[in-house]
Amino acid sequence: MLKVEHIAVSYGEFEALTDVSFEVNEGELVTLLGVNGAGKTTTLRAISGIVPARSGTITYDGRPIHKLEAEDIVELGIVHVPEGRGLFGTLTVRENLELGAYTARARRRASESMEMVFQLFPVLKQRQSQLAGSLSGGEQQMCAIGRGLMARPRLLMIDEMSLGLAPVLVQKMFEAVGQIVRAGVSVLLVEQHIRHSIRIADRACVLEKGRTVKFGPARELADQIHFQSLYLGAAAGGGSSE
Amino acid sequence: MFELTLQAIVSGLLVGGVYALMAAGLNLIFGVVRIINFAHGDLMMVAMYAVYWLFTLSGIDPYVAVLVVAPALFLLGVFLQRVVIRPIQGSSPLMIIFATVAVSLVLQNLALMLFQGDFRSVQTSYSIAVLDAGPVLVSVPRLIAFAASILLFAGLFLFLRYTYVGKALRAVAENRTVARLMGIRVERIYLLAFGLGSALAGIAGVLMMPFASAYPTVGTIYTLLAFVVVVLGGLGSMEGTVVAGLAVGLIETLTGTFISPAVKEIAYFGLFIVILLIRPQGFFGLGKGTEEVGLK
Amino acid sequence: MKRAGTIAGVLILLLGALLLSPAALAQQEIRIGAIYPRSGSLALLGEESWRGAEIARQERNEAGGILGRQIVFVNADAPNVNAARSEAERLISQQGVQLLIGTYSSALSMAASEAAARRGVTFFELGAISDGITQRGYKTVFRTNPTASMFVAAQMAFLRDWMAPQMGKEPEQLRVAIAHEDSDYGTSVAENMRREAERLGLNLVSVQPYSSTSTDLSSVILRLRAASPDVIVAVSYAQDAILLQRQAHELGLRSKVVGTGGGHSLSSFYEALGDLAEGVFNVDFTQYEVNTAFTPGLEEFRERYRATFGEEPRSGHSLANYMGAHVLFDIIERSGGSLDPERIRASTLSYVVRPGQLATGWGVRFDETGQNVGATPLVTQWRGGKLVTVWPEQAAVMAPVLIE
Ligand SMILES: Nc1ncnc2c1ncn2[C@@H]1O[C@H](COP(=O)(O)OP(=O)(O)OP(=O)(O)O)[C@@H](O)[C@H]1O
Ligand SMILES: [Mg+2]
Repeated sequence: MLKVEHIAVSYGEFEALTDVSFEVNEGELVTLLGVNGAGKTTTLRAISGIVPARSGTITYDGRPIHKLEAEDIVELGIVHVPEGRGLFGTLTVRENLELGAYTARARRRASESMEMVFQLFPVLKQRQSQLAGSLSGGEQQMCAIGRGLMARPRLLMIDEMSLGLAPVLVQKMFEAVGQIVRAGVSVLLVEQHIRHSIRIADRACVLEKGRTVKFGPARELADQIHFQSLYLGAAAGGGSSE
Repeated sequence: MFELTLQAIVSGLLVGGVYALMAAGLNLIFGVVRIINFAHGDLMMVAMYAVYWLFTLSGIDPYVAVLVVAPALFLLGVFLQRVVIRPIQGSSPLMIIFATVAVSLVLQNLALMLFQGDFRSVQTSYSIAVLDAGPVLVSVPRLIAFAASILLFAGLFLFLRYTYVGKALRAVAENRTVARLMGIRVERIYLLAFGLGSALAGIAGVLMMPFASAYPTVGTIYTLLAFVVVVLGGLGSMEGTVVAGLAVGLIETLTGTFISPAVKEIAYFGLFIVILLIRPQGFFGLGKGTEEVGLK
Repeated sequence: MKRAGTIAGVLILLLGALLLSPAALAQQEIRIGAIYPRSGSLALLGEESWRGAEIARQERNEAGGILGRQIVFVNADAPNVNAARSEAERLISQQGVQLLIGTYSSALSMAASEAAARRGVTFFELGAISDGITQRGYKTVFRTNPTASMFVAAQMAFLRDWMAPQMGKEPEQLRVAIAHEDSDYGTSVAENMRREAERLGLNLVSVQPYSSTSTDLSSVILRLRAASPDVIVAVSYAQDAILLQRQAHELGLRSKVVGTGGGHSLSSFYEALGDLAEGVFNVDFTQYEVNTAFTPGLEEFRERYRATFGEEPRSGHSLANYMGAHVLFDIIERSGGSLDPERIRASTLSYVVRPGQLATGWGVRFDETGQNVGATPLVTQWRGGKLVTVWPEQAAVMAPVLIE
């Protein structure tokens, strides 16, 4: 469904991505791994059209999308839940969710989507008229993912989903992602909790200094990572994938 | 003494309403597009001339003229955003300040060239009507301007709060990048914000025309006043704008009446400077984006 | 062949340039620098003032110029004090101008005349009224129009000699309030007023300074109202004059108003206020509704103004500049067309005209400071949309009245 081939991205002089390739199939969960600064966020931004790809191609259903504006990419059903949640803090939870369904395609089904989101995260229903800025960290992440779902995504990209959340909440978020995938939405997940994400992912892509160094079935990687993290003494859930 | 105080308060609120309306447009543009439009008062000036000519040439009542003038100013605002601001958006704050100051100078000189420096006024049947409300006297056109400002604010609040586009305006004001991720076409929202802000300046001009005169530099002081109100109330905060607008009107009239008219401008400029120093986010301010326009 | 042609072409161009150069032209023409604010916030009356001088120039040129030489204005726009100074310097050093006129605004006049006087160049002020302009000891600075203190003297005399008796009061019973804009102009005039009112024994009950750029003057009106004056003497620019009058009405203040030139005499004052302007007095330069037997040439000026600019004069500023420019041309003629400062000063000081002979009705007699002490402001009153001269009697077309 989504195919990223050899993309490179620069911030001014600085080359953040040099050669990134991977793909996501319909209904699949792919996780993007890498140390801090490897280029995970930049990859998502390139796909969602916030930063332009200097070279390489991104295709979606066989159609190149790397020249499109961010606004048009959302319209196609590729939805990006940004790092740090990016909620509109001075707007209410409900307003945030409504804005998730801003595109014409999503707006038609907004109330239906809202029901679905409330089912997935019942706490949002209680908090709907509260300002998003006043939510707790976990609730904010739910609101952000909920807002992403409001756009009726076919591919949902979530950046640093469990950053700063308590273990119970992390568990909950992963369950939610599982439900989303089961509902037929493809997910591209950037996560700190490597073990956890590899366990639920179909495939994984490892980035190192802006390039893909590994891309394959998550199970294969799981064994290696298990071995390496033991070897390097890094705790599972730490930032390193090497 | 009681009557004097009451009259000063009423007069202060009446002018404060118009200040707030002027400031609302400036603040809307600031909040969403993140620029300080130094031509804001000059847009009001354009509207005042438009009212004058519609009245003088076709006998159209100023309050009817708003039907033409407000949309025209909306388009003028859209034009300015599209042609002047967009190409330099994202460059240094100083550059954008220069650009809007240039627009201000162009509009003023255009007015001077076309209409000379004369003071143009319209005289309507209600221009000098005064309501005798017991202890206070209330000028009818000023009361209309005040009431209309309050109604417009109410409309603006409802619009921003309950419509999809209104929410999108607030979203863009808060975070443009994330707004784009929602599929909000930010460039269009900028056009809309600039258009609405200009239309509000235009409506303020229309409302004032029955009791004020149009001349090429009439806008300058209003740009300044609107700016003071916006900073006092908080950049980006509409509630703050209403309160600060009324407050500036009150401060002006009360200090003028009970201390001396010579200090009434000093009073609110003093407050303005104090606020800038100790609480740059204003009474209600969000403080967001102040760096972007070079205020911090 | 080709080369020779080029050289010939260059020579012809050079020769042409030489012939057309200012220095060459100056042999026939009398060049005068004209510094007025013609853009910016002073543009309205700055332009109006320039128009008066310009009409005098055209008229004089059509009548053969000065001793057969045409008069040329080197025009400069001075919207602010810095521009006034630098433009004066530019005209003198780069354009070689030896005599300057201007400026309408006192602040501009101070700057421009100082720049001229420092270089020993003659400066004629035709319209600014601040006393200081002719009090700095400069030998080359002159003024044809009356000063601020002459305005104040006329105004207070009017209050004592006409207004007080008319209200059935002794001068010391007449409650007088002053409202003035708070720049140098308004403040110095108001200070003069205070002294003059005291000297004449009037009862000064309130003095209210305010900023002329104010958007609202209700506090001024409320304070005035609290002092319940019989008459308010105002020193205002255009916008604030209108605002004061309008807000006085809105807030129920019904005292008589006497303006001091400026804003109260503009046609826009009436256009903005209509009936609210009725009966407002003003002390000013000579206006157009005046006893023309006292102001020979005024009608011709007015007609010429209409023909040249396609509208009515907006105030008496153009007329004052017109009269002043003619006086200057006469003076140049008397010094044999020479612009030498010494000769100009000599012919200026010896030039005398009795009142009632020029288009403003003003007399001409310069004192040692360079001030024309023969010039006198007149009292006018808005009556049915016209600013008619009502006092003193020899200039009046109507008798003054108190309108309720
Ligand atoms: N706006 C920017 N301007 C300049 N450099 C940037 C910018 N954003 C990111 N970078 C740099 O690009 C590189 C990749 O950053 P990116 O945010 O994509 O990494 P990441 O893998 O998401 O890291 P993290 O785990 O810390 O979120 C980093 O070296 C970072 O410093
Ligand atoms: Mg990241």
